[in-house]
Amino acid sequence: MAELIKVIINGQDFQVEKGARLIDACRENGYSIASFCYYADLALQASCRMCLVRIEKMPKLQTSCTITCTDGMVVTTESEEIEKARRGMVEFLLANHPLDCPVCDRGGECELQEMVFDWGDLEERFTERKNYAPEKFLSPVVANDSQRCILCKRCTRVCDEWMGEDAIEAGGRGAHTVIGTYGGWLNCSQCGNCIEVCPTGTLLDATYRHQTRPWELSRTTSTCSFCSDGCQLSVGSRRGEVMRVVARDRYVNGHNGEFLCIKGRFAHPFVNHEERLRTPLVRYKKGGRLVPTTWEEAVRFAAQKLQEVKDAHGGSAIGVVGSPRLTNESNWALLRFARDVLGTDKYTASEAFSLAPFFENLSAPLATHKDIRHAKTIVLIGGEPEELQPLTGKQVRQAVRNGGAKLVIFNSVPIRLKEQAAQFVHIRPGSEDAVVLALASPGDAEVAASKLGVEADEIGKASQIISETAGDVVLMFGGELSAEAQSVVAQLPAAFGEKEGRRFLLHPLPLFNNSVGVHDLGLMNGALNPLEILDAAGSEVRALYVAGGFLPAHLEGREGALSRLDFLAVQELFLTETAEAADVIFPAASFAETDGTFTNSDGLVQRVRQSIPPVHQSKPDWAITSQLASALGTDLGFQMSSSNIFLDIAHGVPAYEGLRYPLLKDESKPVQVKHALAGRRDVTAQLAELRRALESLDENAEKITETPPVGHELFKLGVLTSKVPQFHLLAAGNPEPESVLVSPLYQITLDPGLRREAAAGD
Amino acid sequence: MFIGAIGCEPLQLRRVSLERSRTLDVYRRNGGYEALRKVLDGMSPDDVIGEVKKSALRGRGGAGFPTGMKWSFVPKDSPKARYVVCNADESEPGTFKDRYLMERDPHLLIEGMLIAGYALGARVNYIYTRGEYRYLIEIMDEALEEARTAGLLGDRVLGTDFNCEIYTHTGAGAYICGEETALLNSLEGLRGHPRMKPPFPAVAGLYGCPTVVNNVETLTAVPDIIKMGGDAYKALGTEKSGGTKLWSVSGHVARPGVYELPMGYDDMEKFIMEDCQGITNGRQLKAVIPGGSSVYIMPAEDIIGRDVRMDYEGLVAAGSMVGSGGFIVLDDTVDVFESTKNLTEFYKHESCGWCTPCREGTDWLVKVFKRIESGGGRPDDAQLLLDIVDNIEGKSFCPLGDAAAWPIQSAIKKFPEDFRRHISNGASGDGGKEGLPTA
Amino acid sequence: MSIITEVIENTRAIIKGMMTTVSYIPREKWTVQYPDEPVTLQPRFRGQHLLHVDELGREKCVACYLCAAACPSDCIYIVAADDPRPAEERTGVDERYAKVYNIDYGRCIFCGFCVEACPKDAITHGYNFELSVYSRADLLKTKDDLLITKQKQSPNYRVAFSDEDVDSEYKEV
Repeated sequence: MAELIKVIINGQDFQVEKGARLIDACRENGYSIASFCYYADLALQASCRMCLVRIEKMPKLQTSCTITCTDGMVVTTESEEIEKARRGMVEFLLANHPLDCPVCDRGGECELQEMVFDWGDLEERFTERKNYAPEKFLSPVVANDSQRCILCKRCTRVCDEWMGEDAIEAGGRGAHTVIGTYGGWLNCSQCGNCIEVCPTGTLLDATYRHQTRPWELSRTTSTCSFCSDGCQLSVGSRRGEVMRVVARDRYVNGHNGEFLCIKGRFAHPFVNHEERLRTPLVRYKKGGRLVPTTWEEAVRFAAQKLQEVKDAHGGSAIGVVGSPRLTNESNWALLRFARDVLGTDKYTASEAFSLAPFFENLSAPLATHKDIRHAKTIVLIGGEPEELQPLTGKQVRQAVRNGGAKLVIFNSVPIRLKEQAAQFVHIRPGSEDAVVLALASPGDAEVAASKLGVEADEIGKASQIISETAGDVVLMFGGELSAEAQSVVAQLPAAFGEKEGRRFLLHPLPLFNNSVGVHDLGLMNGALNPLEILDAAGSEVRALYVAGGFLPAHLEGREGALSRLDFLAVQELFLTETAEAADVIFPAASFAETDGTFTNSDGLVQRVRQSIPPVHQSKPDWAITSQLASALGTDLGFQMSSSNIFLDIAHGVPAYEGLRYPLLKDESKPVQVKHALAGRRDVTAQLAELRRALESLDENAEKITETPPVGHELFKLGVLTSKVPQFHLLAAGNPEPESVLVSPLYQITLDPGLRREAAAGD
Repeated sequence: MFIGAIGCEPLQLRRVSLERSRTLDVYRRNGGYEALRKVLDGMSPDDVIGEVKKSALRGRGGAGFPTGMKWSFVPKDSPKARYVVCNADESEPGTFKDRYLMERDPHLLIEGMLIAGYALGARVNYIYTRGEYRYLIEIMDEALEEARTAGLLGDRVLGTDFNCEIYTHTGAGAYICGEETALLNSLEGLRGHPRMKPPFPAVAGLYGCPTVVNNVETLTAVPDIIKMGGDAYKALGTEKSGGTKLWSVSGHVARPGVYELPMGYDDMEKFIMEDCQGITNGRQLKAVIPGGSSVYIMPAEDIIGRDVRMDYEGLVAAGSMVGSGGFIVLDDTVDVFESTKNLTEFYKHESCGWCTPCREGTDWLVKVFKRIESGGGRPDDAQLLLDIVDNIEGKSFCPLGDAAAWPIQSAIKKFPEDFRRHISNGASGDGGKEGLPTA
Repeated sequence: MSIITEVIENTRAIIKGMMTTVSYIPREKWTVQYPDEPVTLQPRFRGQHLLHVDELGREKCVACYLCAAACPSDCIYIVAADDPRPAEERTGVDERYAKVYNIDYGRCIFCGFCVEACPKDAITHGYNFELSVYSRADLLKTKDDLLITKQKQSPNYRVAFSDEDVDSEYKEV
C-alpha cells in the first residue's frame, strides 16, 4: 500500500497515493480534465495544453499531466480562467482543422468532436484560409489526412515505445508540422496501433475507409483468433457483416490495452469472404464431385459412413482431429465425440508442436502479459515474438524500455528484439536445446558453448543475470525446443534455486490462439499425433473426422494420405487442401459467428462472443459435432448451448474447475486457469538425452547473420490472411504505388498465383 | 559601426578592436588565460562558483537568471558525467553581440568555458551555434586547435590534473534551438523541440546528465569575474545585476554597434541621443525595442525625459525587459503595425509546432495580419488579435509563445493608431480576399 | 309552439342556410379537381425526397449517415463506398459516396429531420406525393428512384407553385 498524501482539489480534501499524477488524481476523484496528448503508459508530451489547471504557489496555469501530486497541494480545476484557456485551445485546434466530419471515418467517435462539444464555442472566429494538405495513403492499411491532425503525437510515441519501429514521425515545423513517414511509404509491421490511438481522423484504417460510420456498428468484445497472445478486441459489425476490428478500450487496461497487430486488426475480412463455404458438400462416390446438399442429408451421409467404418473396423479405426484454432467448446465436443460416440483413442489436434512435456513438468506459474511488462529479467530461448506473438514482443519491449528489465535472448537469428536485449547470445541454427542444457546444468556449459558457437562466458553471464534478479524472471521459449528441452525448461527454476524476492514465471510461445486450450482439454493426449495419424491413413485409420484443416507442414510429403482413407469428413471455413480431399464438408462458423472460449499462452481463458449470425448455412463446430453425434445415436447433452459445454469442461478438466461463463465476463480482469504445478522433478534422463543430442550438433554450421525483414512472418499469406487483398500487397513486398493519393489496391495488380510459402500457424 | 564600452572600462570588448584579436598570441598578451591559471592554481570549484555568485552575474541570454545560482543547482554527488554547453544560437532578431565576441575574441569564450567546466566538474563541453553561424565554427575550431596545441585544452590543462575538451556543433537554423532544452535535443541529434521542465538541465540535461547551458556573453564574463573578483565585478553594476552588459544597437540610429554599458546605465534617452549619436536623418524617435524582438515595445514618450535606467529592474519598471540586449531603435517613419506583422511572421516561421497555442496561434495571427494588410480589416480585429495573444501567453510549452505574444500586446496598447488605420481604411490591396476562406 | 310558428322558423333557417350557400357561388373556388386537374403545392410541402447533384452531375451525398441517424422511423439505409477515380469522373462530389441509398416509404413519416441533418444539402423533400403502389415492396425506393436527375424525367415530378421554393429545383451553388 503506497503512502497517502492530501491534495485539495477545488476546495475539497482528497487522499491520493504518493507519486500519483495530478491528472489521474483529479479524474479518479470525479473532476473531468480534458486532454489529447496525455496517454497513460506513454511518455509525457504536455503539448495539447488542454489539461491546464491552477495550482497555488505556481506561476501560470500548469499542465496537470506533468505534475506529480505533493502533500498539501491546492488545485483548482474549474474556474473562469481555466475555462477560457481550454476554450482557447479548442479554438486553436479547430483553426486549421477541416470541418469535414461528414466524410471522416472518425466522425462519431472522435475525441476532438467530443472535446468541441464540451469546450467549443458556437461561433468560429477563425475566418481565414485553412492550411491544406491532401488525404493520402501511408501503406495499404493506413490512410492519413494530415489536415485533421492535432499533433498530440500519440501515434509517434506508440510507434516508438510499443513497437520500437519509429516508422512515423513528425516532419516540418510550426503550423506546417505533419505526421508522416520516412520516404513517404510506411515500411513497418503495419500494426495499425497508430490508428487506434489517434484521437482524430488523421490516421485511418484503410480497409474500413468510407465503409460505414461508428454508430452504425454493433460492437462485440471478443478474442483474436490468430496467435497465442489472445488479444481482446472489439468486432464492429453491421447487418451480418464484420466491418472492422479495433482494440477494446480507449485507455490502457485489461489484457492488451489498445494494442493489436496487423492480423488482429486487418485480417478480419475472411469472415465475410465470398469463398466461404455456403452449404454442406457431399461426395457420394470416391473420385466423384462435391455436390451441395442440405444439412440433414450431409449429416445422415456422414453418420452412415462413419457407422459403416465403425461396424467394419471398430471405433478405433476412426481418427478425430481438432484444431488449436477452434474454441475450447468445439474441441471438447470433438473429444467427447471421439471418446463417447466412437470410442476411439486416435484423437489429436492439428497443432505445430505439443506442449505436453512442458505442462507435465511445469514448476512455476505461467507469466501473464502483465507479468511480462513488469518483469525484471526476461529470458527468451528461440522464438520470434515480434513476428509470431506481437503482443508479447510489445510487452517485452516495454518491460525493457519503460520498466528497466533486462532481456537475455538466445536465438539463432538476430531478431529485431535484440536491440532491446541486455545480452544477445547468437547461437547456431538448431542448437536451442543446447542452450537449455547449458542453463540447467552449468557443468555442460563449456561444451555447449563450443557447439553453440558462442564464448564460454556468455552463458555464464546470462545465468548470472538470472540469478542476480530481484523480482520476476520470465522464461520464454519458442517452438524450436524438443520435448526433452521443454521438460527441462519447465524445471529450470529449480536449477537456480530459491532466492528472496525472486519469482520465476514461464511463458511458452505456441503459435495458435488456442494452443494451450487444446493441450489443457487433453485433445493432444490421444494415441497418435497428427503426423502419425496421416501416416496411418488407410491402414490403422480408415476414416477421419477433421475440424479445421491439417497444417501445410503436416501434409508436406504426405500428399496422398488423405485419399487413402475410406471416409473423410471435414468442417472448415474454406475449401482448403484438407477439405478438397473430403467426402463430406460441413461449413463451419468462424470466430466472429460463434460463442466460446480461447485459452491463450498466459493460460487466460477468454470469451469469444458471437458478433454476427453464422454466414450462409454455416454452423459452429461444436453444433456440427453434436448433430453428428445425435445422428450416430448419442446425445452429448450440450442442449445447443456453448455455456453447457463449458460447464462440461469445468467438470471434466481439473484446471478449469469452477469456471463458468459469467466469471469470464469482465475482460479487464482476465481469469487464469489453474495449471497443476509439478514439484521438483528428476530430469536427469532428459538432460542425458539433451547431452546425447548435443554431441551430434554440427560445430561448423553457419550462423544466420541477417536480421529478417519486418513482417516476414506477419505478412505471409495463410488460409485466412490470403482472403485480404491488402495482405497480398504486403506479402509482395509492400510496393509503393505511383500515387499515394489513391489506395494502392486500385493501382497495383498482383499476380494471383503469387502464394508465398505457408505462414507459421496456418 | 561602433564596438566598445561607454561609461566604463571595456571588459568583454577589451580586445575586439585589436589587430589579429582572435589569435592566442594577442589574447595571451592582453591578459588572456590568466583567470584560468588563477583558478587552476588553487581555487576549488566551490570557490569559483562562490565568486560567480558574489558577482551577481545574471544570464545574458534573455531570461536573466542568476548564473551562480544556476551553477550551484548541479548536483555535486551525481555519478553521471556533467556538461557545460555554450548557447551560441543567437537568433533573436536584433541581437548580434555573441557573434562579435566569438568572431573577434574566441579565446575569451574558451577560457570562460574551461573555468565553468572546472567549477562544475565537466570534462566535455559543447559550443552550439545557430546554423547560419557556420563560419564562426571555423573560427572557433581554429582557436580551439590553437588552445589545444598550447596545452590549454584537452588532457592536463596547463599541466594540472584538470582535463577538459570543447567541441563545436551547429544547429540547422531554428530559432527554437536557442531555448536551452531544445538546444540539448538538437545537440543529441533529435528534433529541436523543447523538453519538459522539470527536470531542469542542471539535473538532467544533455544525455540525461547534469548540464549547464549558458549564453556566450555569460561565459565570457566569467574570466573577468575571476580576475577582478566577484565583488569588484558586481560593483561595476547594480546590487541585483552585476557587471557590464553588451547591447546590440541597430535600427534608425546614427551609430549602431555593440555597446558595453555598465548595468544600471543612466539613462536610455542619453544613450540613444548622445552615445548612439541620435536618430538618423534628424528624424524623431518613435519607439525602442530594447531587448530583442520578444520584449515589449517602448514608445518614445516612455523614454524621453523618463530617466530610464538600463538594467533588469529599470527596464521592467519602464514597461519592458533587458532580454538579450538587442536594442532596436525605430524612428517616426516606422509603421508599428507593419513591424509587428514582420515579427509575428518570424515567430510563426520559427514556432516548432510542439504545443497547440504557439503552433496554431502564431499561424492565425499572421493570417489576421495579412488580411488586415490587404485591406480586409474588420472593426473587432484588434480585439481578436489581443484575444489570440491572450490565449497564447502563459499557456505555451516554452517561452516562444510568450515571446510571440508580448510584442503584439504592447504594440496594440502603445500604438493603437497604427493598427486602427490599417484596420479601418482597407486602403491598399484586394479588399481582403486574400485572407478570406473559400467555399 | 304552434305548427305555424314551426313552419316559419324552419323556413327561415333553410333560407338562412341557403343564403350562405348562395353567397359562395360567385366567390373563387378552392376545390381542386384532383386528379383531373394538377394540385398546387406550398413551398414547404414535404413530399418524396430528392437526392441532389452538383453542377457536374455528381451526387452531392457523401454517405455520412447523418440522415439515417436522424431518422426517427429508421427508414433510410445507406451503404457507403470508396470511389478512387479522379474528382471529375466520380459518382459523387467526394471520394466517399453512397453505393446504396434506400428510403422505405412504408416507414417514412415525412418529418424532414433527414433534410435538417444533411450537411451537404444533398437530400431535400420534393413535391411528389403520389406514392401509392400495389405492392408493399415497391415502397422501398432506391437511389435510382430518388436522384433528382431521374425524378425530373418522371411524370410525377412536381414543383411548388411559388417562387419561394428553393429546394425542388436544381440550384447553382
